Amino acid sequence: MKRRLLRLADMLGQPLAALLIALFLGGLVIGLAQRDMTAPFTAYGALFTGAVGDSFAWAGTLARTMPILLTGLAVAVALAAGLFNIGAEGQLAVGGLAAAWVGFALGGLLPAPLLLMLSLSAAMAAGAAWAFLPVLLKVTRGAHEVITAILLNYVAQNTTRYLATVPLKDPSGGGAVPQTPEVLAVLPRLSPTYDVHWGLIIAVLATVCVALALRRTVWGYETRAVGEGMGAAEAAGIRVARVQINAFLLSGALAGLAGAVVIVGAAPFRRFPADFYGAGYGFEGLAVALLAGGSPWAVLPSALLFGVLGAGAEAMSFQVGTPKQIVAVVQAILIITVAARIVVRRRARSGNTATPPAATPLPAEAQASSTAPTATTAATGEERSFASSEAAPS
Amino acid sequence: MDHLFAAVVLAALRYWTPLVLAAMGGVLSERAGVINIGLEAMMLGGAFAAISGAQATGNVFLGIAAGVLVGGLIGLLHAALTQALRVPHILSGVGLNLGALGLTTYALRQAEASGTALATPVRLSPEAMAAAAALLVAIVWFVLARTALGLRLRACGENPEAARSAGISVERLRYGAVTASGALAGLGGAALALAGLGAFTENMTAGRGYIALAAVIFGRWNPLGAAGAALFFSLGVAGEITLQTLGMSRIIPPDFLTLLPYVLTLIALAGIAGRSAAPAALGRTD
Repeated sequence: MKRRLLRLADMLGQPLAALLIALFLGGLVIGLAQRDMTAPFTAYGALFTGAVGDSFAWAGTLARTMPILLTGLAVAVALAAGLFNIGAEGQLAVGGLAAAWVGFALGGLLPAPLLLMLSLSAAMAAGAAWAFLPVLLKVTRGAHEVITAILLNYVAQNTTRYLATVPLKDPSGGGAVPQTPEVLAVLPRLSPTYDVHWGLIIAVLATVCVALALRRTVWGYETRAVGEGMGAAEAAGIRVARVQINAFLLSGALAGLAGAVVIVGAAPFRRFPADFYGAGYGFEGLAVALLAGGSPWAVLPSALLFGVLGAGAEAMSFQVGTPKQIVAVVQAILIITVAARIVVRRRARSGNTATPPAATPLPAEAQASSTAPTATTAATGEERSFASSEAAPS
Repeated sequence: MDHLFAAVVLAALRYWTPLVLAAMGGVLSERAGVINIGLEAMMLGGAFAAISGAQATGNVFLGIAAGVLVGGLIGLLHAALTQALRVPHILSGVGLNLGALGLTTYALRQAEASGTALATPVRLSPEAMAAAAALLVAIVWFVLARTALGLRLRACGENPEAARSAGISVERLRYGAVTASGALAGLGGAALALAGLGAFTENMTAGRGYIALAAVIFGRWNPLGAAGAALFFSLGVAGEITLQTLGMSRIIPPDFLTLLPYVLTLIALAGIAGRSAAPAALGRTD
């Protein structure tokens, strides 16, 4: 029991310390910029009241968490296979548009529950389709998926904007930007009082399913083996290309689903606006997954933290006028600090073979501790990570 | 027709200058073995510092110096994170990009709130800047291909263990290469801001750092190849702008015309196999 508590403290201690460092440095920026060292306290006070101050604030935070939980999961799945899905934002946009299109175009033809299912499925298919080209070029041509996915993000941005502005535009107008007609089937709310809907349940369920599947199934084993080291996986008879394609398609599908739960969820959406790309849920998912160290379980608290910061930032800029972009600075420091601290600790441990490995967020070590005798992997102190196994294309 | 041709070339060169400077930074960093997706942060920081510096001093060269300095500092940070703290390279780069975008936009909003704009009347000549960029391409090529320093630097990217056993200080060289990479990208940001708008706007690099990295890969990690790839992309952009002004947007929607350079680059990337050309130790954190 005591040991378990110590392990828990170890697991939480690092990210908490990183969070404190990030908040401190962010606060320093606020204080220096406003030449007033009480300003950070006012700003953070407004941020946390706005995010978790009362039940309505919590509802807003959960609504903000929902899409980035899915995009964070999407990026984490790709990371597990050693791929970096920087294209989540584009996949989110095409998924959202597909959901909106099915939702209004087939509106009168199908009963609402069926329409809803079809909307979500179409979004997942669209997201997966958008993810196919980068991974195909990766496994066939060796083109780095980060570069091709970034290029495809621009294609997604312009294509969805065009479709929402011209052919799929709601002719009756309304809204500050052109948008599609309203969808006819929406995800029901969880409670009449709060603006939280079934999308949150879908996101949490998806996370649990993916996390369990990665750990307990052959698919998950193969995926993690590929993420761990392609050479070894190949030698063990795993078809690396197929595993990577599957993981990336799933990643795209989850990002597409994230777009769908936003669009067919609560107001203000239910319509696809022409400027939906750039809402930032996809890019935030990258940071969520990196903070979680690629572990699907850790994506849950990581997404919630980003939800708190994101929802709080809006309240902060609204109430005390501190620009909300400070939260991006805090998030950036957070993900870098967490990654840096993991390594410092591993280095410190490398000389000491007796220390049991604690649960750590980086996929390489998490996998090592589940597939191999733990003491030996910890003893090597090896600093493997997704970037080291994946980004060297040789 | 000649007039039109000249206009396209000029527009391409204007776009090419910041892009190729960042791409040269990318080549230096990656040939030394450090993935630099943070080029975007270094360009954006450079653009911000260049405008602030020129605004504060009224001198365009001090503005450029500020851009180079801030870009170099972000590069140094990337080097420290990846070399001393062994942060995965892509993670460090993504974090820097997120932080730079947040910090510059934050500063911009603060400035707007106090009623000042981040703008300066001083300007750089785009033609002179393009010439300087071309000169820097030649210098980077010469250093990498023809000097002992370049050979050592490439050794760090191909086989750091062998380099180490040959007495090369791999970490120190990488610090130098990544800092220089940031300075070049910062110069690119300065060129973008001071030869163009003369003002800093939110996210004004708009992904040029990523495109520069694509040019590095498309150019197979060779300075001349990367410069050519950047020119290819810039001609695509110039072609798109020209088609827009010629009224083609009545036939092809402007949203699709905008895509022209991205799709061309995508096709080009699909047509080459990048695997064999990458430095062997690129991205390793051990």
